[in-house]
Amino acid sequence: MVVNQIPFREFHLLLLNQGLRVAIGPFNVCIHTAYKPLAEQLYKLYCHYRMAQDEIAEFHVRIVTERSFKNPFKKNVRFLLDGQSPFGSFPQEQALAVLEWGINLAIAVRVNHLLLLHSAVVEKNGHAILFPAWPGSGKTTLCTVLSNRGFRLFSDEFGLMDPRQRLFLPIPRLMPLKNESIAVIRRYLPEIVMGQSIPNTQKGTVAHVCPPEQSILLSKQAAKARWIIFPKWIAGSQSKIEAISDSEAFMLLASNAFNYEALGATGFLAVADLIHSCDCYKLVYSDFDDVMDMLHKLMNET
Amino acid sequence: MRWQANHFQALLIEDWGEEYTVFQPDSGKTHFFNLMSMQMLIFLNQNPATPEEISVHLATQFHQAMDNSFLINIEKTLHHFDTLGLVSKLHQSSQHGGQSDSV
Repeated sequence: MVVNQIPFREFHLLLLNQGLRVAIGPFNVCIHTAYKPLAEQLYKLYCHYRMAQDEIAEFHVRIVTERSFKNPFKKNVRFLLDGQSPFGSFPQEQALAVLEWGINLAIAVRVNHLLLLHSAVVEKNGHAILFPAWPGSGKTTLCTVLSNRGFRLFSDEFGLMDPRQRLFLPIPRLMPLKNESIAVIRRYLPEIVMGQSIPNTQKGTVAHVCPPEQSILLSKQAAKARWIIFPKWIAGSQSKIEAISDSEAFMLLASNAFNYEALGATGFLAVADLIHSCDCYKLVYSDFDDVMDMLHKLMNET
Repeated sequence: MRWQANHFQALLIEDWGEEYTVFQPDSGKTHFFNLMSMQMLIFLNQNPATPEEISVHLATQFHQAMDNSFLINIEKTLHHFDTLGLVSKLHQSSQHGGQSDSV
């Protein structure tokens, strides 16, 4: 059963009481909150996610409201992971952004049976394409475009690699567009389902995009990587894609992983295998149509 | 002073065509080496050697002039390897042929 098959009232009661359990890629997340505006946003944006009420949840997260110390008439929200608070409190209108960052944090610090790359990942014709990059490189924006133009979304944030099977696992989550990207995507993809803009967060204004339904439905279908493309968005730049050496790609990729050092030799061998099996490039772009042309050309050359 | 490679057999080495990534289980670190650095480490695994002997070996192999600046670079690389725990000074009692420190 998926979220949009139950009425909002039932959805809200789950969040209030035993917790809403949703399958997000290979993990089940149990979410609690009594904050109704957040429940309304989640009902809209999580509409295609499969419910997992009778299954074990890897992560138990909660958004609670509390009075602000500075202003007792104002309420803040706080994220809890297994009852622990990893962040401070935030204005209540930022609840969705805080929940999403909190779930990302939980994945980044708790998952050590998979190699976690800081990377957007999409799939086409059975091949995964990785876009590893640090924040500010435009990977969420690029991923939003590609996943709405014929590529299947694995993630805008996490490249989850099973180091034994050498497979990437989809984990399609809400995509948080930031600042100028919000208007850019509204113009480029007017049909897209986007949550309300949340201003004044620590990353500026954020608006969440719902992953395409098909990407969520197919989130059990893993894929091997074929291309690794390190993207960089530069306003007004001429789009350019250049092959890079395997050794450079190795160091870029290893330094980009959340848990490379924690995995030790397993991480080293996984990254080495990945580089051996992929073509690696650096991409500078400002135009999405150029990027799609380049990707289709790469795929046709294979 | 002679130097030797530490736990060379335990290193995981990926050859990317004259560039290497090396995983060192002892530290959990990954290092990036060019061909000459790699050859130096291989040489020290095969034979404990002084910086002068390393210089002669590498200068021959890479057709380099065996001058003082080359020797200084070898010593800098040795020091770097030592910091990483990849090489160590050979104790006097186990030196080949009872040679004394020469640096």
